[in-house]
Amino acid sequence: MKKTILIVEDDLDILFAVTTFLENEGYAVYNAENGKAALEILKKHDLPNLILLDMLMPVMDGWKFSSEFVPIYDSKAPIIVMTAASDAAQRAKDIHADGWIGKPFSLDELLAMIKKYERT
Amino acid sequence: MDSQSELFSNLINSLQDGFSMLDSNGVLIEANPALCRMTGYTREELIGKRAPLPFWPPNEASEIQKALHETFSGKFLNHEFTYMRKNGERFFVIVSPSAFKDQHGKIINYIATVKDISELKKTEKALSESEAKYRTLVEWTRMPIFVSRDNVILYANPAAIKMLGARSPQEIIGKSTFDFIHSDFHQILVDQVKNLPEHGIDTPLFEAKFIRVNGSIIIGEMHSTSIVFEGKLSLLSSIADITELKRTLEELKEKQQYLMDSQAVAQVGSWSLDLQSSNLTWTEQSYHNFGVNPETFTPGVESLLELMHPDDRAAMVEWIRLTQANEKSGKLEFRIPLPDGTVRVLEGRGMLLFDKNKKPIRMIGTNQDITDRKRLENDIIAEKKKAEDSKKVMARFLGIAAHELRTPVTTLSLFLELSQRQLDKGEPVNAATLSRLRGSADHLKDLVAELLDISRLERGFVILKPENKDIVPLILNCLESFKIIAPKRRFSFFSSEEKIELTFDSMRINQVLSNLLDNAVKYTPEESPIEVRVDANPNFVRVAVIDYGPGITKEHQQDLFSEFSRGNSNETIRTCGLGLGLSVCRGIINLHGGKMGLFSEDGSGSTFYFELPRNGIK
Repeated sequence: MKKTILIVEDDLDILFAVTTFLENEGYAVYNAENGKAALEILKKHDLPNLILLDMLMPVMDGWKFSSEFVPIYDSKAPIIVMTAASDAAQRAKDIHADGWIGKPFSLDELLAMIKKYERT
Repeated sequence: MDSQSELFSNLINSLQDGFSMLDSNGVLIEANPALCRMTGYTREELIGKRAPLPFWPPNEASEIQKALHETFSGKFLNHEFTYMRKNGERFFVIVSPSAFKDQHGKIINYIATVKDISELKKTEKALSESEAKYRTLVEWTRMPIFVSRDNVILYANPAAIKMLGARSPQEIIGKSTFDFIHSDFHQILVDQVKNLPEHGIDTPLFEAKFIRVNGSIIIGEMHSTSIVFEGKLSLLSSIADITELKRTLEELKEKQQYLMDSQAVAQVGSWSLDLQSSNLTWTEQSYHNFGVNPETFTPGVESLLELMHPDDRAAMVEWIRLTQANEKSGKLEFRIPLPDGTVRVLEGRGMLLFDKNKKPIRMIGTNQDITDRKRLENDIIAEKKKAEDSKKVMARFLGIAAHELRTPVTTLSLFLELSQRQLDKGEPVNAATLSRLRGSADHLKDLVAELLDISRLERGFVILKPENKDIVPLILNCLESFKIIAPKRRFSFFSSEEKIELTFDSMRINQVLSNLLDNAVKYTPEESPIEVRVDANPNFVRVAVIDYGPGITKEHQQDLFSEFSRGNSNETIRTCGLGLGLSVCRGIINLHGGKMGLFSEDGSGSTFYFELPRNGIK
């Protein structure tokens, strides 16, 4: 069975590129354009093996998403923060994320992070 | 005795002075009662005696005889002799001898009158003693005194000689008084002396400059009176040397003036409060600092509080209390609202003064006008805040810029990496991937152009290419292009005139209008309409973009036009680029000599507008 990854990212180009890559790597990928869409997906599907989370998004941002997600799902899914902000590490710490990756990143870097934190 | 002899006898007997007669042989044949009284001898004891006569003192007898002998040889002269009474007492006499001669010139009798001048001598002695006493007084006094007649100096005491710097009286006596008085004062002296009627009436004290022997000048206060000197009406003058006094006074005056000038320069006024009389005195500068007229304002604690800003009065009362209690009151800043509406800021300081018994007697202090300093301080604080704010804005901008630039860079790098992987696998790169690469590159280009624009505007590198033409077609064209970009929007257009001629740079104005329309499209819901309204009046043309979106709160309106500002929420941040748009727009409109503005109510839409002057670009 394929491992699943939820990508929460409002930049459609990034979303498309990462999705294409991860599917080629053999993952099942769910896409959400914001935190609210991500919560909707989580309601309908099993908990993914990992969540890639952008922070600055319209409608519901990364902070709000994690504050709603963590209590409900008891942080059973590891979260990796993807951000273009200079203080990426701080943002990851804010929401008790497992790891972070700063934009721009390479696909190999991303894959290494996923392998490190994905729930098996 | 015949009647003539009797008359003669009576005459000599009644004389006050002594009378003696000797015959041609030098035998005393007559002595009157006055002579007997003087000498203490009876008539009988004297008659028949010959020279030396009994009342001639033995040690002077030959002198007397010689003098008398010379006299009798024809001259009529008085002699002063010392005679001796029978009891040995000596006394002074004036003897007036003469000789009676017959028709052949032969001496018949010698006669002499004798006047006792002992009393006169005594008076003379006393007089000379008293004169010596006064002379000593005049010689010893430190008050310069001189006597003059007809402007010639007859006498000068040592003090006067010293004052005039002479080595001896000869350098002064005999000279003209005018030699020693500065020419400026000659007339005064003449006038004063002229008014001196008779001796005994003084001139008033008058000030004059005196010239010393070495030519230096001294200032004296002179006072004259007329006296009899050596038998003639003369002028007695005394002089008080007030050169030092004058100089001290001048110095004091100078110091006082210096203090006043310094106070004026430093805008420091001073005051003094007498604790016993509660008398408060102010220097001129104090009146000036408080903005009141010294002629109409009476300084006092109450009137002082009246002048002050009501909010500062309590602090002043407390400050006075502390100062009076000799506690550390430090300095106090307070405001004085002036009649012209400005406010002066003063800084007060004070301290308590004590007498010998450590009893407080006086409070003194200063008030300094620190309005300018205060303004400068506030300016510096404001500048500092501005600098800090701009540092914060800059930091925020760098964060935003980094974030915004990283996003297209991320997409670029991700798609390049994907393409590489595809090529590695021998698969072709598809058109969709290339289009996304192009989109990211365009996005980057736009961001860089925005940055470049603001940087050029800031440095004045933007040069307008103005043309005089109708602005309406430009607005309509711009609107048309937005209708293509946002096909679901309802756009409407209104213009007060069909054709509006003015001078502007078409490309730049198009940029501004596009920016305003772009914002309206980005920040308002798709279903809400957007209006463009053009109003022309003789002075300017106003172009407004009106939306019916959420509106902008007052505080965000304030800094909306500053660089890197971007509305109020995280939701907007994503769609808004670097936030330089409005500040670029304002820069362009300012270059046109126009202005940009905004009306907005939170919750009921916004109107962004720009105005261009109709009289052309200056």
